[in-house]
Amino acid sequence: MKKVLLIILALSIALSCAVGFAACNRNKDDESVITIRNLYFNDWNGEDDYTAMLEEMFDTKFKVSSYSWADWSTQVSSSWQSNSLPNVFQDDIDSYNFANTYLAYVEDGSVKALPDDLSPWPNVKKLVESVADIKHFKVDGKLYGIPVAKNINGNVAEFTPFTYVYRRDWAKELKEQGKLNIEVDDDYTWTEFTALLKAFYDNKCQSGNVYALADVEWGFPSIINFYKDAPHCFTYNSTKTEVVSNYATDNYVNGLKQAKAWVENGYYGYDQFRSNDGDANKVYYGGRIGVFYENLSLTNYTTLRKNIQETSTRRLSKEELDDKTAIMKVSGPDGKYALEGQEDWFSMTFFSSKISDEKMEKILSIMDYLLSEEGTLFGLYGVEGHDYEKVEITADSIQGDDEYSDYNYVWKDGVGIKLLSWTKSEGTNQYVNPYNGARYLRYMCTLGYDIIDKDPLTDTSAYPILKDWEDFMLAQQEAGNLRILKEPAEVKWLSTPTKADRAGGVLEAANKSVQDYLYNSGYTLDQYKNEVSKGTWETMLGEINRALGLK
Amino acid sequence: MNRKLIIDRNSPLNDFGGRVKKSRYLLLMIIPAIIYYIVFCYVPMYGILIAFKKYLPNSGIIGSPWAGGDGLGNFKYIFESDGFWQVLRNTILIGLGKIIISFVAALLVALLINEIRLRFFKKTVQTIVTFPHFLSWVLVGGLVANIFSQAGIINNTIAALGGERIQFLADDGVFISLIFGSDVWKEAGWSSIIYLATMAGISPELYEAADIDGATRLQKIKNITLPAIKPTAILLLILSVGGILSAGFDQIFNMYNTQVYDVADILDTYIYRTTFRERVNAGIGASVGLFKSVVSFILVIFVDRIAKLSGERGII
Amino acid sequence: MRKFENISYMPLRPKGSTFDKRVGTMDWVIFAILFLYALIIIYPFYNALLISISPERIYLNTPFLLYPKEITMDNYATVFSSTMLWSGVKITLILLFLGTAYQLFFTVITGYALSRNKWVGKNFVMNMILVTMFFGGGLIPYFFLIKNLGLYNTLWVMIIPGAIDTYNMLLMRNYFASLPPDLEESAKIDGANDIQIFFKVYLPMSLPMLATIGLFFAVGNWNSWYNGMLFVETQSLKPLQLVLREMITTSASSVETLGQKATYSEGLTMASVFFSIVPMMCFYPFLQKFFVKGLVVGAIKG
Repeated sequence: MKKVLLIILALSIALSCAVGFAACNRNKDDESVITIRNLYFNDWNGEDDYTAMLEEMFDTKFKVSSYSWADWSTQVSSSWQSNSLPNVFQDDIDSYNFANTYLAYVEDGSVKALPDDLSPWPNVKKLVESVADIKHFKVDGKLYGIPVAKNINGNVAEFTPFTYVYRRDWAKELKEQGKLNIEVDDDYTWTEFTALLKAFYDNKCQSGNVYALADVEWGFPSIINFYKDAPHCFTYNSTKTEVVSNYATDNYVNGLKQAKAWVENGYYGYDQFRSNDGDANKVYYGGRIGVFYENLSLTNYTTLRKNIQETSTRRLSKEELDDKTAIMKVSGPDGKYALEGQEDWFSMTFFSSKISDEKMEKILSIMDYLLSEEGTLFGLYGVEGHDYEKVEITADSIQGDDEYSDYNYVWKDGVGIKLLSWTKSEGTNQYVNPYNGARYLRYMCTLGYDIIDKDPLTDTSAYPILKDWEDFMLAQQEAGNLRILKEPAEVKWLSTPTKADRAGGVLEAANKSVQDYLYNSGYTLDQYKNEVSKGTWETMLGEINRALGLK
Repeated sequence: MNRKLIIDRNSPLNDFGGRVKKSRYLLLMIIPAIIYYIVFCYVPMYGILIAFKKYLPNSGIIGSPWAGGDGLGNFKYIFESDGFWQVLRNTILIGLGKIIISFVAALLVALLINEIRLRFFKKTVQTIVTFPHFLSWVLVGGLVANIFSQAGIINNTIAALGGERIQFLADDGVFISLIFGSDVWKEAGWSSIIYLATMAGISPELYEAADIDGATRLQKIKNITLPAIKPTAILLLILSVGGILSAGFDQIFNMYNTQVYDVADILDTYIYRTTFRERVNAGIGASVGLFKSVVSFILVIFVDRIAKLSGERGII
Repeated sequence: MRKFENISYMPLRPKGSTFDKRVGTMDWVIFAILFLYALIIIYPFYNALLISISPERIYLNTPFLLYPKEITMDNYATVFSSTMLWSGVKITLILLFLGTAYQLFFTVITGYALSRNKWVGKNFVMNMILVTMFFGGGLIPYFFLIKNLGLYNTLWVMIIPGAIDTYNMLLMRNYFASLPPDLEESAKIDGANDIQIFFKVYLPMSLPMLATIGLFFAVGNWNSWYNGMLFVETQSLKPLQLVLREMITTSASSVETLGQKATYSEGLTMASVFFSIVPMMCFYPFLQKFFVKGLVVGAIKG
């Protein structure tokens, strides 16, 4: 029996080695087809008249599929590791694995470097240059991917709209009843904010099922934003002149103490754990949260409003809906507004190293076209004369009340867009998506925030509210009154072996320590500080500081 | 004593052709299986090499450099990292816990069902409790998340009774109970079938004799039922030890989240997570996988010996 | 009719039993425990059903939804009109019939061959198979294999690699080994070869066992998603469970994309979950005995 086993093992190794060589993947790339796998579309598979027009224009064929939302990471990773990447693919980045993954792609030669000179593709060049941190991604002077920016026109601040949405109707109601003595105008000082929470807590939360303040489930209390110096793990301490653990700084601890105080007095009613994606959202839809911290991107905000409408017993008027989903502007104890900072981009479009230079140039030309004015019009509205026409507009007609009389969108000064073939769905009064491939392929370059106000698919009732908030925050930024939490790019994109392997782990561990401190009375502050600054932290910080030449 | 020099009628080499001819039809039937196992199991087996490599996808498995120069770099890395030992500990705790808990639960269910005399009720209960076995963990995970989430019915009940909401899906200890609990919910009914079948084989005369002696129900269980199913129970228990390192990828994968990695991450999810989510070099995952294979294999051989020693049929 | 003073002394005399079997307190306790146990099993299904037929606002505003306060079929209407789900059903049905027949054929002939005594290389083949239960090359070379065989992003990738399920094959082998061997001997005397014996003698005898294994395969195929996730790109080739998985994990998560990501309400998700369970629920009570039989043969006699 043992003999047989040995023979088998010997045989299997011989066999597998022999066949292993034969089985090595040596797929030839098909020059005439561009295979693309994107992160940003679901039900579009690359077959429509508009895509066919693009294909004809560039004398190519697209083979498109998207990663599935639930398993995209596995799918990107398995196609990379099995050496069968599509020609063009996207990978999400975050500062905790990206430097690692990006460098791994580059190191093993799986991705193709962009040409040194991007000037034949001015729009792509502009896109790459619009991303401030891009220099940190150059390896030996070469760049290996195109950042998928949200916006390339620079009219959106460098942050994702993480902010508070709240029940203005409750505030108004309590104000009327004389139970709240602040002005209900969405712009609150820290004192007013606290008063609002107290009023909500005293009058709305007594059933035990309603919460004054809640965060979406990311595990770090949002109110610490008004105290802390950096978004996540690391921050630069100017007195010590070195990078230290953000979680152990005095500012962070002060914020944490405030959060704990509010957990204890009941304001922070809803637990921060990521128990189930979207759990807190559902509680908000159910009318059981007063102030809710969320990532209010246009999609999320639109979804939130849609769900509030759907979960309500009757059709809400626009005013009522706005009251239930008002966006709040809060300034912290130091009088500054705070934003969880993030880059203008979080994904990159990569090219497989298997493709030829010619093919890459063709793809770049397609991207360049889609970013150009002509391509953007094509992706947004379709074919001129069939789907839309340009109309002349004057300054008067722009300012006039009757905004949509002659044209639907302002393209630029003097030029309006009048939609022709577009239809609206009866129920929602929103334009129906005509599945224009150019629209989706454009996501290879930008997520479309640059054209959001011109996009017929944008929810016209939600967008102005977000826009108003955004303008307000930009104004505060200019006035020096905004606390944007950003990690220095040198630290954020720094790749050292320890950071690459461990940073995600310490983030999770810190998350847990924060939770323990907030909810567990037996857990002391010293214990907390130890856990977020000793052990692995010391090794990592040591290496980071050495790499940056600080120690 | 050089047997090879003696012409031995029983030697396997003797009349090989004749024996092949004799069993040619069976060989014909087994050929698809041989092809299948070679193509789908043995050909990819060269992938074990990844465990000894710093795997660079573009260079291929053969072309990638040896890990740490001598090929043992990945093993050094995992044996020195805290993460691996914690995951191994989790795996053993969850694996062992599941074996014991589901053993007890299945036995209990079987004993209870066996005590019912109303045929209709017995059949109905059995149908209901065995059904969840056939659901995928994708679905069970969804059902569990719905019921035990913060705004789920269980927490709403607790809150209404004046208690504190419990983070079932995020609290270490509670989550582990949920793992065991959902496993019992899904599998206990199904596992009880074997014991029920064994119990059905017990001669009714034994019980009748006990009745005459005036034995109570518990006495009957203790003195007749349990001894009768003991061999089956022991065999199943021994055999399940071989699979201890496979603590249930499907279940954990569909139920866990970052908050409970500390206690719920098992070898299989660790391999999956590091390789595909965190993009740690695939060599690390492969070396953990090889470690698991080798240990499991040894365990099974060992357990098989024990089973054979205790007079039962082995598995190999 | 006799009136019972105390119901726990109600005599119950099963046919053929001369013994006095009374329903005692213990019986009621057991009854109660099992009743509760069955309720715990049923409740999650009931809860899913309840959520799926309640309007979202009722579900979200009612902490204890124990009975339907208001019934809406909207979620089911959406489910039934969802092309994504129906294409999932279509693929899964193909897997169910084609895949099950294919797996059954190869698994059963292998099991039979391995159950026969004394043929050249039997031990070798047996060990070769057992080793694969523990050692594998992992996903990466498997991915190469799938690509090179041309199975990637085809329906076949969810069928062909599953030809033989080692565990069920061993079950089958144990079953064949447990059948009386003299049948084979007498057939041999009549001049039948092994293949004829298998088809004419053993196969007809093992139909119930075939049904069992076939059902196991069918359930496995109904529940399969993993190969689909890894090797299928095209949405219309994804099996039902994968579609469901995407719905469950996507439901209302806070992810930033531009309006292209569909979100599913809890009610819709539960409606789809229920939709995928119902066929099994309908068939299971009638097929239960086959499943049980397979398990018992495999575990005890094996």
